[in-house]
Amino acid sequence: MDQWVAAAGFVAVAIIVPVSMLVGAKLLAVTAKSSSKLKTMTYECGEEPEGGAWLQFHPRYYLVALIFVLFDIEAVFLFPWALAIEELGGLAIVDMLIFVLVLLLGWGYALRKGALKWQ
Amino acid sequence: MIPAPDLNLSVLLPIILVAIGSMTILMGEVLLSRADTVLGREVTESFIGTVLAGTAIFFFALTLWASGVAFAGGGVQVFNPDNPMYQLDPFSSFVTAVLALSALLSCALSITYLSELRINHGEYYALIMLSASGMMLMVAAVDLIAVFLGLELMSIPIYVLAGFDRRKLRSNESALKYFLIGSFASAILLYGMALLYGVSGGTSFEALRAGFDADNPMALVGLGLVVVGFAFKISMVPFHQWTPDVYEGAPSAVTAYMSVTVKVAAFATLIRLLAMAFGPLEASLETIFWVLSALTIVVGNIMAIIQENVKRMLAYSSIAHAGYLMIGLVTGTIEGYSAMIFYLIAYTFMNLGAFGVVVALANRGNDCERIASFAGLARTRPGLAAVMALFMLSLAGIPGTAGFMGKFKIFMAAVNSGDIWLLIIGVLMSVVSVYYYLRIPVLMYMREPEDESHRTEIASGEGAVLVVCALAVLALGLFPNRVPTLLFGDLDVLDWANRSVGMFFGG
Repeated sequence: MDQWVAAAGFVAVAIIVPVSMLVGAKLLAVTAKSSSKLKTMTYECGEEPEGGAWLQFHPRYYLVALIFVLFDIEAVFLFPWALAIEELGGLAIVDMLIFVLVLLLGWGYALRKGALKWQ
Repeated sequence: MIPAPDLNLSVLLPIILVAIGSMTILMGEVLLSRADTVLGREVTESFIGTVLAGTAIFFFALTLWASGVAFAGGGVQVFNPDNPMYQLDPFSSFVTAVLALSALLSCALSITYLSELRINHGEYYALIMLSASGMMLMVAAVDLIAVFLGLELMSIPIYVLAGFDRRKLRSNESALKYFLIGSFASAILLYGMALLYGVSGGTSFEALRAGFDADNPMALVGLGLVVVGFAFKISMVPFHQWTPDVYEGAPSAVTAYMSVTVKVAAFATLIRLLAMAFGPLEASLETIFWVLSALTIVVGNIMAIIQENVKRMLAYSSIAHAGYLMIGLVTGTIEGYSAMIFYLIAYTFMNLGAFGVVVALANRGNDCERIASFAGLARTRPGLAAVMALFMLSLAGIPGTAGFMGKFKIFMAAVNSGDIWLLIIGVLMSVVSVYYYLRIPVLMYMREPEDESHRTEIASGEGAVLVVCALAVLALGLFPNRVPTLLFGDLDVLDWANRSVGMFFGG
């Protein structure tokens, strides 16, 4: 029976957390009092936006973003490896070379297929 | 110095071979499409396609050989003794061999089809190899994380393959539907895995088994979510609605590949999960699978009757076959599991064969889809009509074919474990299925040909696949325990199936 209570508590928490977040955001949010144009701009100070934000993007952005993710992931794995390489020894270098080689193959494929050509 | 883990890479040898193959194909495509001539031959689209398909077939054959050797050797090897993520054992090596064989046949089936449909791109074979490597990871996994990794690696390339005919709206629809439903299924599965981890404190199957508390509702919820996740992948009723749409819209060669291999991989993983991780829960799982199995058999067979499209009909038939297969899960005995493995092999050959005929009839960008267009095929294409009739008889379970032997084994296992009602439902619905399977032979042999332009000649790749499938269907149906081959002597497939699952029962 206790476990049913635990499960119910789990469900209750799962509901309370997002609801309270939404309500909290509603209560705490600062809304612009006057409807002056400056207040409702995307960046209140700094760069002035050109045109609306709801426009169609060229699909090439997705290709570039995907290739960016490739190197992002590579970096995520390279950092801890670089910190621990002294203790890991020679085998780790071979391992990382294989990993980078696989990513490089993918990158070479994308490059040859013209994924980065912008015209 | 951090001690390097004592990894046993030979465990992953089949998967590494397939992965290297897929990278070779990607690079080969890029290099070949830049060249004008190779060894004095002009480089055309179809030349590239043939070379890459040959590469894929070569690597699958290597994988088949490697896993066959591992199966013959027997014994269990673990990838990492401290944290056994993957395991090479008779079960995984046998299922890997089956997967490699069916992927090999699918590649041979696709060569001419792709250029008929003008979607001849090298990536096709690379995607097939990537998804095959995911399936092989999944069946070798003994850890929930590894199972999930394999499942995603299997699914994502197949989402792409379903939409491979990207100029056709229906192919796009198929890919998007499969992707959305598939991601939901993955999310549900992952939630279930998280709950199971929370309950048992470990993700390896051993930890799950040790830490399982069958009275804990959280464990039951987790188990249910995991079962639902797999139910989507193998299209159990009521999680089957995506199947007909996806199978219909995807290019036929892709449908042939995914209708066979995904089922083999997902069922094999379920067998391993049940046998290795969820042993303590057998009683409650039995009830769940009983209901799901009965529902799947009934709905699959009845819905198949009213279909007018061959691919939709075969989709519902594959749902029905998933139902028969699940009877083996209900029994939970070594007999039931080995019957499932045998049925999966039989299903591989007959379903690949049936879709192979559909592929061989595709003509200049058009799939042969309407059942009515099979009318009079015996007059115009007697050879194709003969093998199609054989595959239909086998799917219906007529004696003398692999389908009969598979059903017989499964139903025997059900009788021996006392599931008489499931047996009655299965047999009754098999009778129903004869109606819609036999419609196609009746149309082919007893109607006049319609004015429909099928392709008039068969390509050598397609012909070879159809001959192999037809011979396998006959051989497995007539002598399942001594399949005669020219090269390797007689093969005892039944004994193999027994040996592969025997390891779960201490054999």
